[in-house]
Amino acid sequence: MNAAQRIDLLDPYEVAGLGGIEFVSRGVVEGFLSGLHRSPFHGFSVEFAEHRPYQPGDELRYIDWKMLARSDRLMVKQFEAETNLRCMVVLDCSASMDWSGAEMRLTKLEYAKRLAAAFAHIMLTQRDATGFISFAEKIEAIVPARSRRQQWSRIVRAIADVSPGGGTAAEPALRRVTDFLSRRGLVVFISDFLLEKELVLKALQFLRHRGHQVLAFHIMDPGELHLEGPPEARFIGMENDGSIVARPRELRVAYNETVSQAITQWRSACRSGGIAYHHVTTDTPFGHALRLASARSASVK
Amino acid sequence: MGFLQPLALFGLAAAVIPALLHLMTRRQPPTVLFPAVRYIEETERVHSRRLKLRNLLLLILRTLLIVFAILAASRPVLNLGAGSGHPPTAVGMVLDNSMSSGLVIDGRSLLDVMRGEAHRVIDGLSGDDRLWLVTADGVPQAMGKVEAAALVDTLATGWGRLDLGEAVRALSRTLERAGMPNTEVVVLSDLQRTALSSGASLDSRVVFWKAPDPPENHGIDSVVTARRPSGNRWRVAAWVGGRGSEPIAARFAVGGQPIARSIVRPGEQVVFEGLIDRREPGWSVGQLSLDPDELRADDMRYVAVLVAPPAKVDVTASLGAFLDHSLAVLMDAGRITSGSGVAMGVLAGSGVSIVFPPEDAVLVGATNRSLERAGSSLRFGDRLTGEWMLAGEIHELRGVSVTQHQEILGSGAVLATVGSAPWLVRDGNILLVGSRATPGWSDLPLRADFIPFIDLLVNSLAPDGARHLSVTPGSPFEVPAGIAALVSESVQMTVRSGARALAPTVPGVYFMIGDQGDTLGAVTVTHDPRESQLDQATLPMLTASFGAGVVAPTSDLQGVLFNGGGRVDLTTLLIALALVTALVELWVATSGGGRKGRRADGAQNTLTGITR
Repeated sequence: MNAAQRIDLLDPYEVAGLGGIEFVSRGVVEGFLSGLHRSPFHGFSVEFAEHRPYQPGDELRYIDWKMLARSDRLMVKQFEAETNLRCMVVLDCSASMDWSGAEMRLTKLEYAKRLAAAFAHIMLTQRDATGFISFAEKIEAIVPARSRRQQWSRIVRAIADVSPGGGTAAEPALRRVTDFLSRRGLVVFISDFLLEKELVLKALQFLRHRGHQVLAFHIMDPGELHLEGPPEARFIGMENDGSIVARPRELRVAYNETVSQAITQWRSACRSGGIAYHHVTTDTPFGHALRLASARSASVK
Repeated sequence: MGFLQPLALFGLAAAVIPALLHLMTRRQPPTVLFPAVRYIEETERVHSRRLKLRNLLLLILRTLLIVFAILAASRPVLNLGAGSGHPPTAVGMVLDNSMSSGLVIDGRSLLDVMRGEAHRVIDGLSGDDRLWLVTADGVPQAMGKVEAAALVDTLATGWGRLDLGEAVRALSRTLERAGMPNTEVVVLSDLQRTALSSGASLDSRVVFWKAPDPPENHGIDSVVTARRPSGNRWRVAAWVGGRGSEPIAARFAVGGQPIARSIVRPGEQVVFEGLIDRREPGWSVGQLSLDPDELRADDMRYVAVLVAPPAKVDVTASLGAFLDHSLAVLMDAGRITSGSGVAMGVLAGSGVSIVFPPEDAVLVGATNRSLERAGSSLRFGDRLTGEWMLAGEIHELRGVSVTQHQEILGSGAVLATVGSAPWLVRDGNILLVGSRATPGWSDLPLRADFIPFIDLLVNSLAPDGARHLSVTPGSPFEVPAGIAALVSESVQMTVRSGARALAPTVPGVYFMIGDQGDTLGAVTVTHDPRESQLDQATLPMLTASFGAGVVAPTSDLQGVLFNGGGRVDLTTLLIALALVTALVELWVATSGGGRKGRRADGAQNTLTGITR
């Protein structure tokens, strides 16, 4: 399968047009995994099992260097699946997520839904117990973490039923995650991060303190990165957060700086708290987003 | 500091456009649904002060840009003042205040406009320059800047005509005599073609001001008056010059009292005939006027009207019973009196004489000798018999049959003819009649019109002895013998009999007063019809008249005077300032607002606020 045929690398809007969330997510994950040859999330869901001799083509990171030093033999570590890892995918479905800057682009929520489904599919493929929580002003839907065969269908159904609206109350939802992850697990937090920063950071750090790995996806539409529009316009917030009259042309550079600064602050705040932070725009192919997360996961483990 | 295109300064009102646009675009901006409002608020909070300053700077820059552009369009010039910019020059200035300078264009008289130009020329002179000024009188006068400015201020439109060719040549000769290395003639005139006279080419540089294009004009070119038969009936014929096809109302008044009115078109003749209602005989002033146009001076013309007293008739020879009886009837009616005014007979006297052929043909020679003594060129010739009808404009002679008449030789005004031969001829004080007033010569004595004809003969057709002169304002004329003064309602001029004098400068009727205080005639001072023709001379005409030193007529005199020296044109500087301002505005606008449009990846965000 070459890159051009892999739907995980296609434009998200085009991919979304191919079918429902389940089909698309499955296709994205299949493409993504086939490109990597092996599961990228070993660090989360598998444990060491035995050694085997090195063969050309094996990844160098799995060579057991201590063994090489002791026995002068190139041995490769083999892992086996860990069955007791639990993962909760937390999805922000507030009103601000229901926005797209262009006709031919998914809204942030539609993008996030597919990303969440794809992530859940990967985890379940590795037989990890995976659950799902969606929230807006309150928790909208909860699918407790399970590793059964039907879990994927339940999660996809719950994701498909998510409808946008209301404000954002992420902190209660994140704290509620601990109810479903009684021991070390993985939390995937997908949001546009238009929320109370301090509270959310505290909640994420709380999860880290409880020993969970945290993956945060900051979803943004490209239209939010660069301010465009008529010479003068009244910009109205989507979560009753007021309005403001502004001139995009005058503010463009300063706005870019503000947004960049906000992203940088989120990134540094997350990094200092041991949280994997990923800034993803809605025109990024799903495969790239997943790859980004898999690459970063190792470093924050 | 001056402006070559001052009307463009009205465009300065456009300087408020940036402010207006700023205010107008602030009204009811469109609404955009946008999730990341908090980022905009944060940006505004941090950058609002800088943005306000930047917007104010942009407003000022855009206003300045418009101001600079408008000022550049108005072509400002800076006069550097005395002593700078050009070498010492002998400057001759023609300021044409002839009658046509009273032409009104856009609410200002041409002379007023030329006055402003003259001041600018004077202001541009340095201390080393010398100035000569010529007005419509054609006489160059050397004067200083202050004196010249005062003269320009007080100069009024005259009634006379300026011979521009002669004036410029006279000025050029004067400048050459000044002995300065540089000479320049500046002509402020409406450049009428009729004002150009041919002559020698000039060595001086001649700079012409370009007057605005003249409108269509009409005026009274000439007037002919004639006293009609039966006493006070007058005929006034006027030729109206100019172009155009619109009819014009023409009026004739005597002594301020309207007599008649008519309609005439330019290029046509208008004739007024009517009874002048005056009880007392004497002179009156008539006024012929047209509807006014932009040049008022040629829309009115004066005529002198004489209502004569009953003629004094002296019959010096027997002219037959019919004439005797008719004179008796006229005397009874008060139409004539007995006296030495008009002599009627077969011999010419020293005064006004009505001469009939003698009964005896052999006396014709004596008659002719008397005519010769009286200074007349008229003579009686052969006596002819036959059957003729009288012809001419005299109503009373129509249908008269002539069977015998004396041939009339010599030159004079023919008032009636018999066949093709003169029958009634006037020459000076002499009036010759071709037939005697007896039935053997014509049937006139037998007709009812006989007595009216005799009335006409003695009261109207016979010379009244009054002298009429028509001259243009300020022109020289020869004062008739016996005249001691010219008098009008407001002017009294003493003149020398038989000498040359200058006509009054204001149009009107000036009565000639004799040594004894009698009114002996009238001088009608009236405008020169050439002043009514406003067509401007072209450059080839000017070059043909004055030579190769002619500079093409221009409304920008300052630009060509002294070959353009002594003045700085600020247009280029202002254009440069406008360009710099535009560049600064562009830099401020783009540096503050960021580059427009596309991101590095080529996608464009339209920010339509789409929700699904």
